[in-house]
Amino acid sequence: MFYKFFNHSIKSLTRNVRFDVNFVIKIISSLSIVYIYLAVLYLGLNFKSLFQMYWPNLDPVYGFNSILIYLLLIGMLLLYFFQRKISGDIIPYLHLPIFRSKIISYILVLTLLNFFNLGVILFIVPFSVKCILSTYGIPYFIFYLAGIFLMLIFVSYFVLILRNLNNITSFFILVPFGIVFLVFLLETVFHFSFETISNTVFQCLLRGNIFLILLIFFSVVGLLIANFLLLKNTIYSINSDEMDHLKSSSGSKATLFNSNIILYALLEIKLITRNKRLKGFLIIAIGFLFLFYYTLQNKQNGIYISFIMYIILSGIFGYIFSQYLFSWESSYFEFILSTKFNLLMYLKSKYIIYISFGFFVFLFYLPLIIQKKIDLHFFLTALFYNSCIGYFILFFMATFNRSRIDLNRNIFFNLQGYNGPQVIAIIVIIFLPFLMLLLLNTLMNVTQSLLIINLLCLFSLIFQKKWFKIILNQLLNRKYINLEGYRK
Amino acid sequence: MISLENLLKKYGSTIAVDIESLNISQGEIFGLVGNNGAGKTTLLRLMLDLLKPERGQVFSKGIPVYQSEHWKNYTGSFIDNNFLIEFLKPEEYFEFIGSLYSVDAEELKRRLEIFQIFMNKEILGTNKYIRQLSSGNKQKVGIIGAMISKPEVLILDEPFNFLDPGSQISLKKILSKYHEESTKTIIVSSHNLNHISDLSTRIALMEKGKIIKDLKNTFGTMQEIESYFKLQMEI
Repeated sequence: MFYKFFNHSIKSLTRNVRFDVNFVIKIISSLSIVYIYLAVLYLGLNFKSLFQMYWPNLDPVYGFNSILIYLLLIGMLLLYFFQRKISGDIIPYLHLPIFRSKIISYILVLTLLNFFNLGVILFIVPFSVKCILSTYGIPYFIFYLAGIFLMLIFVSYFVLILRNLNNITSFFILVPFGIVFLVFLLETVFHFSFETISNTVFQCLLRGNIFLILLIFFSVVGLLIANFLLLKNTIYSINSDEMDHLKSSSGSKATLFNSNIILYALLEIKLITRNKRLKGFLIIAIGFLFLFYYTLQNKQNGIYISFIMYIILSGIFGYIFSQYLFSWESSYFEFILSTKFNLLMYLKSKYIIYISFGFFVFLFYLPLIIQKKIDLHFFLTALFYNSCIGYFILFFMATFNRSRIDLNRNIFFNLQGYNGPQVIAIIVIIFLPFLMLLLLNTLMNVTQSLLIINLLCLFSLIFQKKWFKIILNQLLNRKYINLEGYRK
Repeated sequence: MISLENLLKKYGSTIAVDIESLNISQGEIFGLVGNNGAGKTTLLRLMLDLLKPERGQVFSKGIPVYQSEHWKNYTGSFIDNNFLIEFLKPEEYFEFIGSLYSVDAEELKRRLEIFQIFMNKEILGTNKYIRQLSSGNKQKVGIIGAMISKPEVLILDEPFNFLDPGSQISLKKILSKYHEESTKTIIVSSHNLNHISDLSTRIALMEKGKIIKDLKNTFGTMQEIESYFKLQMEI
């Protein structure tokens, strides 16, 4: 039975409407996933040498153990927000004569097969083989790995129980944030060193502390039983949204990364690459990236100036394109509004493309980051800020843009489409985090300030659905006014 | 199918549309004629919820068009080039519309075959973007785009504009066949009285935003409308 369930799950994944896309995109997506996991594997194999390149006096095992607790925390957040809901897979079985316990056991097994666990395993196994096996011997190597695997199972089941409890009352959405906030509070206010705790715990595993592994084991068993009991009581009340989504074969819900989003994303890419004005902006943005590449190599700026520069650079594509947002579509906005064109998906696809551009900028500057010409924390904070707050503000302000743009006019000496609210929005977006940093820096150190900015961004990202809803409502409220402008 | 109630649209102080009541039933081919500036296009835009009326409402299947987007599921339209995504190739444009209405590639191909003569080998496979096509071919792309989802309600503004005589005849045949096969509701505006007369089951004459004549297309309807325009010219 398990095999059949598993077989169905694989089919559900590979035949999912989300993968029902262009062959090239399918190949690119698959290659990207393989690339990411290969990169993780490479990192695991070469962690020792990479670590010693930066910290030659430190033990790589010590270094890795110190950050393991943070890795598990990140895993918890990732799984909580991004793991595919398994409940969708099992709905069809609820109507069949299959024992409830079998279905639940299947959910519990499938919960462990997630992207995060796979990534960690791909890293931890080669890392342990290279760094632990030779130094500590086979028994401790097994002990260490078993301990980490149990921890991963613990995190997976902890997230599962939180998500199921969240179906009962949405109060539980606060728990993961509460944990992250608690860690932050203990570290910054009470100077509690989680690095030391993490290192101590995992060093205990390396020393073969049987009590610790038993403690983790029984915690996992406890969570397993709790999950089993909870699922047994709630399995038939899987929320109706899930049912509705399953019934809709088109899968037209605007979840990130479904095939319809790819359809709209392709339209956006064609818009950018096939029209003179947008192409011109794209080339200018790339030119700026090269220009700054050499500027940043030679010049050392203060933290505030650097932060502003990173904000501009990481969001340059997004700013350039979203400052004319909806004017780009002015020549076919009537088509958009009179057909089944899904504006929400279109907005999401634009958002994903702008974020991808930001990621491209990050990769472009990676050599400078490795050479420490660019501060990684600042750059990532800037990138995160643009993705979680900046673009949403720009999208919102774009709803006030009612100027028409001729897509094929030259960009030089062409003021068509310039729009006051969006220029102001860009200025606000650039200086807002700078002011936040300035203010926070008077109260705490730079790392803590950046952490708070990141937490605010994370908070904003969690409410991305709300953001999109507000933007869409505003756009629809202004549609007659904007259309009038676009027709001129 | 489509009804208007107490509808008023003004541009500044100029009245563009002022219609107390109008009902277009399912299966009608509703032809709209009138001079330039009579309000035909404005009326069609109001039907598509692309303009906000000062007063009144447009209903589609009894639901105000501004209130729900359900009408988009069964309505196809082409008013002007603002309905074309000009940086797409015609094939891509049709595929995109097909995707919006869940028409798969095979079905799309079948549906496009109906328009083969109309397209005259100048649209598909030319490797041109829509913006590179002639005005006539752009018009054809727009019309086909509106019909590709097989909508229950088809709204076309001046569809015969820019078309060569052969294409005009071909379009008339396509529209008549489309109507006959599944009793679709077609709302079409045109300056060309002959085309409207050949095609429509009902003809409305608009002047200064008002519908001044609303006639069933029978023997003599054409003469009545023609005489109105002749009289206007003499005045």
